[in-house]
Amino acid sequence: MGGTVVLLIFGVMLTASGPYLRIRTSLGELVLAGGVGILLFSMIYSTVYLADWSRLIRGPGLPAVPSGLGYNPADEGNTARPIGMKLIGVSLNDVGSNSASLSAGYLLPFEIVSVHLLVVLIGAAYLARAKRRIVSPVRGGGGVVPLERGGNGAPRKELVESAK
Amino acid sequence: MDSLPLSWFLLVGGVLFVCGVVCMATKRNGIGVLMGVELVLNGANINFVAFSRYTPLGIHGQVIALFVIVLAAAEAAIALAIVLNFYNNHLTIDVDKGDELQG
Amino acid sequence: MSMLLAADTIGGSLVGLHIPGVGNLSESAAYAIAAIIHAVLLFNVFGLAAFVFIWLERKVSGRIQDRLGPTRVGGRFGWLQSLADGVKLIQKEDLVPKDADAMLFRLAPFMVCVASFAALILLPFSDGWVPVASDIGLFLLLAFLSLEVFGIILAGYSSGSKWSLFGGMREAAQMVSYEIPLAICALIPVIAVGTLNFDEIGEMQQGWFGNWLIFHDPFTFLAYFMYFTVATASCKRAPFDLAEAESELVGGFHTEYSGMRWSFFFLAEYASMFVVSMVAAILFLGAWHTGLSFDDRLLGPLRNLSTQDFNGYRYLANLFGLLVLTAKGTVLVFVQMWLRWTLPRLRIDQVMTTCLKYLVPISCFLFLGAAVWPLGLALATGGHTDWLPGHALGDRLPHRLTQRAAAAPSAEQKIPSKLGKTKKTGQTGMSAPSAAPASRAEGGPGIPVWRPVVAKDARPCLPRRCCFWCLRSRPAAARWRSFSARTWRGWLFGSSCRSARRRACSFCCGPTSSVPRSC
Repeated sequence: MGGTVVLLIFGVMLTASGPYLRIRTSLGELVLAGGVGILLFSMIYSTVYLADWSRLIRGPGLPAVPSGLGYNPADEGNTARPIGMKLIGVSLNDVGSNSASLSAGYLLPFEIVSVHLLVVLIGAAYLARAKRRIVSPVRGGGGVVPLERGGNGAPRKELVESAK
Repeated sequence: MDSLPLSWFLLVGGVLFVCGVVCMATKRNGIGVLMGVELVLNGANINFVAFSRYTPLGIHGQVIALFVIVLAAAEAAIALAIVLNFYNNHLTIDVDKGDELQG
Repeated sequence: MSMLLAADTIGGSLVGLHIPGVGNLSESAAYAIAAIIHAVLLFNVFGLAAFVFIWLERKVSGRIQDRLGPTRVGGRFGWLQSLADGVKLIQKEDLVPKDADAMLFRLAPFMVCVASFAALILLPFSDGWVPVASDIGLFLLLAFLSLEVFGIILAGYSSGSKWSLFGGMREAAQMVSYEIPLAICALIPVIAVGTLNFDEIGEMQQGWFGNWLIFHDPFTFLAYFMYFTVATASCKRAPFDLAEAESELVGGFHTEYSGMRWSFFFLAEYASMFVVSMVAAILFLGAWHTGLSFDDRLLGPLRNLSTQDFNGYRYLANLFGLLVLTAKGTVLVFVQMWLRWTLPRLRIDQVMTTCLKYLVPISCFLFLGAAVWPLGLALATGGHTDWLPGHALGDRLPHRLTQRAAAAPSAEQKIPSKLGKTKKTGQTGMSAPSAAPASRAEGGPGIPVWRPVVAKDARPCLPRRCCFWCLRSRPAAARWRSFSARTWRGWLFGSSCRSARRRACSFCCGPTSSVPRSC
């Protein structure tokens, strides 16, 4: 949990503007975005209150864990055990029953997500690797040329022309 | 919890969602845009969990919310790497400066 | 809802309370009052823990370094020294450096304190004495403790000083990396028990001390020591205290803080040391049970009385459990302090190497072993495990759960509870596992006493001492350099003694190549 927060903080710190540089949106943009936000919220609000939820709402509590197992019932918010069992692919309603078909578990999405996380983090580490940077101040905002020593070995150079 | 109507939860999720959208739309700081994305995802999570509590969606809503959290973390990592690259290229994280396709 | 809020007697007994002139207390008001009571109690725990442990640290460090520590404030042992420290810190000037980001600078100590305090919400102090009795208590507690990193990084970054930044960055790397083995090692007893709920983990360990989870299988035994090491690292205690390395970074992330802001960091540090030690005691060392079976035979039925009404006997039984658990936690905090003043500090690359190259693979291996252990045991013994001490296969259900299950007659599951077969053998094991260090006889019969010869060219050593590790408060008689005369300290700290510069005489550190020097 702390890891994600730390990641964001590092992002802020690594890319922080100088003390006298301020990135500010103009007032007009703020008003416009505020208006759009209010519109969106009113849309959501009206949808929520116009819909008839009573057809969906069931009696209190999730499907209870069979009492023979004696665990704290999922009714009172103790859903950790059912979630965990679902992630392994077993539904607690079916434990002990001899039916051939079990209700859907989430084992496959769990495996996919774990591989996904691995791939994503490797990709992020690759993307964020250190590259050399040439800072060449150019008139008119030519920008910075990244000098990348990529996999091809030979550095790729571009001439920056102060064309503007 | 039994006496709170479902619509209140949905409204809280909606408020978070709208704040996230406004944040994404207005912030010029790249990391601020990322904050907006996180807000949107968490608003949707609240909706999922509320539905899981009140409707026959059951445990599935909470499992979906769990997966959304995991994927949000992964996406935050990638997005930060992209912002870092943006900074390396433009020397600023003002996303308004990323308005050229060349180079 | 009733399980999640102020669960126990306070909330339940306040509902329907009749206040003269106002009427009965509604349920929400009762729970609100119970929550306030819990918050006040936890504030006291937070403050008292820091108060006592700061004093204890100064005394322990003093004794280890052959001095007395505070002796003036409040009597012979200086036990009010923390109060004097607090008064001093409060009256200091509140500085914000010019280059510091003022808002973040002011925010950071509170982030650390809040994270550390929030972890106290989930910590049980006795059977059922927990503000939030959550089914995922351990998970939430570890999550809250991992929020401390945020405050540390903010402190380091916003101080506007490079020492603080270095300290903060090192600290971030260290704490975040050590969360991995911490979570894995904390999960290993959970495998044995099957639940993340602290109450149930504690209940599993009733009876004689063979039921303690540390003795459940060899993997939990090793996991305890690894958990303790990793927990020490995550509290930024030596030997992992790079963040506040006073001799290197001036002060690390808290260099620029002074007065009460600085003390918040240390309040949080001592409180989280306490939390982590209590978690170790609950997970591994038998929670609120003493390990002698008689206390559970006497107090067990008292503890299992109904939780809805206030019951004086149950309160006393739980109070005893509180004392036992707090004593265990305090002993573990003492061990952490002992480690701090004994072991040299690790460099940051050594810290990270230890975590990522050694502790993570070892903890994964222990996790795998603990998960496979019941299977292996069942295969090896053919399923007959009655003769093993404790409940080796982890197939018990805690007492309360079987009661609930027995109350629900529609049990189509055969409850695999072997509570009826609890082996209460006649032996009573020794209680406190962290035994007080056994005292060795000083210069017993037959050990020749070596009179120290004061030579002018002796290498400087501490006065009246022979070896840093054998400090005693009065000049000790020297002994022959032989293994048989080694004190327990010499056995324990022998290896680090070899690296100590001061080896004026090495009798207690075992034979080395150096000639005994005089003191």
